[in-house]
Amino acid sequence: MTTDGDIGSHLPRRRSPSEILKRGYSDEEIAHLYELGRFWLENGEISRALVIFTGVTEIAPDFAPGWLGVAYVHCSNRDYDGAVNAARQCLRVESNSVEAMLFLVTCLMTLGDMNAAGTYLGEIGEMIDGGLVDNPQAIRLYQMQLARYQVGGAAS
Amino acid sequence: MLPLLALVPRRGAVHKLGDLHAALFARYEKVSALYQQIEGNTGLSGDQTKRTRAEYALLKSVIDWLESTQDVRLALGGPET
Repeated sequence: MTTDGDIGSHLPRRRSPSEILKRGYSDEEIAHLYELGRFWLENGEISRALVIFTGVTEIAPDFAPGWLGVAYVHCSNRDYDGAVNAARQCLRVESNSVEAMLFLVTCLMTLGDMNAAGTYLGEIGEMIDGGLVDNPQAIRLYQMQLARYQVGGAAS
Repeated sequence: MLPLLALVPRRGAVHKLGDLHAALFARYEKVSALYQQIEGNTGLSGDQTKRTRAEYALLKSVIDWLESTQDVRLALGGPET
């Protein structure tokens, strides 16, 4: 015997707006799917990783790590314009993403846009000085890119 | 390229995908039907088509991988998940 309260449990669960944006996938599902892409990156399977990251960014465009994965794949394929676009998409979602800014710095310098790269480097430097960056590898990469920028600036 | 990999964060766990196999397979079947429709209408374009293609490729890739890892586990005499 069911009560009125039980009837609701037989109806499809109402989806939240954020779930609709993710085409019905939960945050957990998106994270695990994304992780397979990252796993393939670590194993050098770039094409397979791109399929995962492209799919993740299509079903969950506001999941910032998916864009970082796409940026990495494009960098690795030497498609720096594609990497810049992906990093900018990441910044659209997370405006303070140091990781996205570092992708931008790396790619923009490779593309010869030292001014834009310098702007992002300055922004990252301020965030590091303000104690807002806790990823030591990101800090190290920033220092490497800063040195590259100074050498590039001296050469031009 | 290796230093840049540090910029791609960890978020989930690959081994947990096994728990989602049934749900992902159900989604795959649904998206697969849509994908066949799209491929049958070659003139179609637009965001919806692009999304369906990308989602289909993603799910197919994950399902294939899950099934291949399951085959390996079975061949080694491990538990079926």
